[in-house]
Amino acid sequence: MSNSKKGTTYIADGGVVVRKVDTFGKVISVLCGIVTIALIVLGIMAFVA
Amino acid sequence: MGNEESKKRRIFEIVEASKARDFASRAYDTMIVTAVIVGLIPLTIKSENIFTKIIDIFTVSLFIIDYIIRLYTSDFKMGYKSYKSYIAYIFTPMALIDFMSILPILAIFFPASKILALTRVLRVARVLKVLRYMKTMRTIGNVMRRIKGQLVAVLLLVVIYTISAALIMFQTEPDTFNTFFDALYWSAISISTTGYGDITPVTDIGKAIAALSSLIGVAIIALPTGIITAAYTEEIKRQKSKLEL
Repeated sequence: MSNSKKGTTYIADGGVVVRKVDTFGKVISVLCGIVTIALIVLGIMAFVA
Repeated sequence: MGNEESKKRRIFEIVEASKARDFASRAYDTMIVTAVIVGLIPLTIKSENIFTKIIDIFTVSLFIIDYIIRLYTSDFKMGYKSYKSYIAYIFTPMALIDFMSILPILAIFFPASKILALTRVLRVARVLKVLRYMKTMRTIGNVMRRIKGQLVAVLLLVVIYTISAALIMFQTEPDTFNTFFDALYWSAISISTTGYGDITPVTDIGKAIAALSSLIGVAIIALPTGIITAAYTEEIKRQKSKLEL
């Protein structure tokens, strides 16, 4: 059984469900968010300048 | 599957068009689409400023990183583990579009070169990067593949007809058309019903030929539209019946 929900994967390991956090995915999400905001700000500045 | 292999697969999942609930992949897609849109801003501004330059360097750097990551994970995309998968990937349509979108970097580093300045125009190719994230593009792609033969035949007919009309007009009215290219331009503009009106036939016979060629031309020009529409409707029906099964 494998089920993903908001970066967390629940995997049945020998009958016991273990919680596996997608740290890598979370880091990428934050990085992408920062870059996206930076791009939007740059775009607005280019128009205003 | 080794740890490195599973990490590579995760990277592949992130850079590919997002699946439901994969937040990281969605964030990556949003970033690339934003970069494409913001990357077009310098093209809409006549005078360059410091921010347009920063946008240029920033977006191209981002596209280079995106290209390298996609190339690195292309064995998952192509479905087989071999160096051949990397080579095959480079020549896929989307990879070629990605490559075109990073070419303008040359113009940033060598602004004096006139030929390289032309690569700046290739920035428009970035718009095509967005196609990757449009689900309907798969349907259009299927349609185009299915009617490829018919489309080529009809487009060939359009080209032959345009050249023939231009040749007839060029021979009938040599004073109106300075070069054959003028006649070809007139033919394309008239047959497509655009009709700028900058070059017009002046003799009665020329006007008669123009009227006749335009009437037949409209029917020929409408053919590809009909073929594409019919195939698209059929594809939608096919997808619907597949869902119902």
